[in-house]
Amino acid sequence: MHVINDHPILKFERGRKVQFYHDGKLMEWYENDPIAVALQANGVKILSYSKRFHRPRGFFCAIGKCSSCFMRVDGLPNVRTCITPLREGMRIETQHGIGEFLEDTPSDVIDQLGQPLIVETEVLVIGAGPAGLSTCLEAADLGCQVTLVDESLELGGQLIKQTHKFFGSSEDFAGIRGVKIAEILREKLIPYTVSGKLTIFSNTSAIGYYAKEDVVLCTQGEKRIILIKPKAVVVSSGAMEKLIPFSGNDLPGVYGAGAVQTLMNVYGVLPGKKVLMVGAGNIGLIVSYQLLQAGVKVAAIVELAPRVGGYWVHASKVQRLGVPILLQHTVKGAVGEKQVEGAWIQQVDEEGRFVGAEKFVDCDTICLAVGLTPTVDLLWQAGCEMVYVADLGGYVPKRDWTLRTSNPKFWIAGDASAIGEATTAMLEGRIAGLSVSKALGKVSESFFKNKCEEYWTRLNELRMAETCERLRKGLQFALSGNFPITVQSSEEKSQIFNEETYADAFDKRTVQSIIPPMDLWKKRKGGLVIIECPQRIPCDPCHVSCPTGAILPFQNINDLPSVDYSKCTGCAMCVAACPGLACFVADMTGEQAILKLPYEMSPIPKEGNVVACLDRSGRELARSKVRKVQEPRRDRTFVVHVQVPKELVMLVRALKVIEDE
Amino acid sequence: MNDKIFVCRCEEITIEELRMCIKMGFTSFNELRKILRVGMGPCQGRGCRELVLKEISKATGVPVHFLSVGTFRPPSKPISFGQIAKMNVCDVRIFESQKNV
Ligand code: SF4
Ligand code: SF4
Ligand code: FES
Repeated sequence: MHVINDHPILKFERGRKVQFYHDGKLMEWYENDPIAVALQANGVKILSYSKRFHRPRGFFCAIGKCSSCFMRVDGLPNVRTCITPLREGMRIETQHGIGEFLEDTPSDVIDQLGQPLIVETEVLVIGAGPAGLSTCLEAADLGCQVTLVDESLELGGQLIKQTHKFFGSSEDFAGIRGVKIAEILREKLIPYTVSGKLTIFSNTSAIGYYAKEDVVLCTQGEKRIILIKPKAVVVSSGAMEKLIPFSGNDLPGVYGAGAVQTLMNVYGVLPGKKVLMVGAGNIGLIVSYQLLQAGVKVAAIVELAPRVGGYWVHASKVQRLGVPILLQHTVKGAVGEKQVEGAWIQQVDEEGRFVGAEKFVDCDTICLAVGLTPTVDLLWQAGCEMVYVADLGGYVPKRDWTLRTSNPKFWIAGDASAIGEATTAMLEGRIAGLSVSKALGKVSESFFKNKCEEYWTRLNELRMAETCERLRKGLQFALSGNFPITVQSSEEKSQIFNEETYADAFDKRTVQSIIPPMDLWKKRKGGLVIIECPQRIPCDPCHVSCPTGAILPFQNINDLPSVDYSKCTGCAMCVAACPGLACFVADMTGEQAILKLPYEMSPIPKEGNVVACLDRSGRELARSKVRKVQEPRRDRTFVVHVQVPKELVMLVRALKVIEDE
Repeated sequence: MNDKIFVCRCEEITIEELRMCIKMGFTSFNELRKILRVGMGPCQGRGCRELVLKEISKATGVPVHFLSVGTFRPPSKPISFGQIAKMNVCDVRIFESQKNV
């Protein structure tokens, strides 16, 4: 019941099934998946009891950062079960209080601990997310000897759980799903591992920097110590989900959004059946969509701010599937003794005071997507100058334009430097990799300067989006020293988009501006495109995918798409390519209109199936038979043709397969 | 309703306790760490530091970026004595800086 078997995008390649014991009870799950995942799949949510109040605890971050998932494994206490792989016959026990060895702990538990290893390297990269992998690629390519350590069991950081297609420029990875990008990056690294330029330690945490001895202390799988002596260190350690105060915020079932993604998208295990999402930034919106894809109900999204923080297109994707977004609302308390059995939410006013009645939400999971805190412990230890910039996620190191911190041995990239997007993290990784190569004398001054400027130009372009305003502001406080290229900012605002307009309230003026010209529309067999993308975001796949050039070239990657309708043939290539699912095609030449809608849910409809046609807020407007189902890009985004009355053409934006009753 | 609101999950410090201590005049992260143990659990303040600083800021009116964040000592995660015991004498040297923790 906790396991996903049918997913519209992902296929789960599971290893060998093994048996293990949880508090003496025999259970089964797949080898090498994290222990916490195996337990969740078996319905076990309580991993330990806290030492002070003996409260039940489950996992929270699922990426080895919060230490909320400690259990005793084969006699060894304090094992982070979210990043420790399951093995045949493991004895896993609920931990009570501070982990202790049992008196009868066999001495071989201690003996299993491996011999420490000492590694010398030119460049140490900490964290194998988009930033870290890109750093490795750049530095190894420029001739550095690189060592990469990563906490997780699989390289790729947060990319490995992203089922959505990326925004950004088609020159980079726009239009490709995150999971696929992780694969591409990993493949690119293979030649360097083969040639010995790159050494990778996975399941390894870098936990201390000792300045006097100049060594980074790492532990591999809680079992072996690795001491690394690097010439340069790039910290790309990512970020951790923030906790917010509400009663019962430690109950099992209160999970970070990243943890929920790991569970369902990497391992195919469900967090629960019904989720309350806290936070309507991009992460909250994307994870809500992914929950729907995995077949989980999203009861509501609550957002403290008076507006949606994430991309408009992401918000409308979930809204048209019927998920309400409650602005100026927050979670007040979790209900339940042993695990989440519901939540209380309440409205807040401008000053953050609670107003109105508390409302009960029926749910078994509270998913926190209220922001991330950069993981920067090592940089503190290294004595780097740090600044608190709320707009960047918290404390971040000061850095110059080469991403070097005030400790000349340390560089930063990705979320550890400022909370941002994976696309910009990859560019930062490139810059850090280039910059360490320069510091190690591998490249010339002029080569370095040209390349660095090129990366910065691309970075600035991506950060010119409307939604990056806070990031742009925040960076001013974190960047130091001379800056050879100007950090551009754009105060340009989208014409038709105002902040209160989200899908539910798609106003008349906005609708008017996207209706294709009527005289042409009535005649054009195949139909014309309708694009609902009213916000400046860095994204261009609609233009790139259009075979006829009907979607005009972008001057700036953040531009709104504009259409030359005379060229549009209604081929729906853009419908399949747009990562925001914001392109639709309508053919008005027949008795009834034919709508071509993007679709990424389960089950995939077949010709002749009856589906419910939904409007922008998920209300059913009509039922219709599926005329045709296409998969133009062979990438699991389907284009479904349905017939609807002509007056519904500007209203119907999604569909739901009606399962046989 | 479940009544406890935690600012630090590891050491189980509730927001009431934190606010009371701030009221009593303990308005730096280091002081609070000593009396409450916030930030001394296995996550070493990754989860709670900001919440604590925000509460101090709210009570004292001092913006977060002016507050002291306390000291950071390696390691930032628990490490078993078994692991240390396995190290050579010369490697154990690196832990000496920690003795005064
Ligand atoms: S429907 Fe086809 S021709 Fe028309 S804009 Fe989209 S991709 Fe271009
Ligand atoms: S319509 Fe174009 S710019 Fe807008 S989200 Fe889709 S692909 Fe991106
Ligand atoms: S460390 Fe395992 S859940 Fe956070």
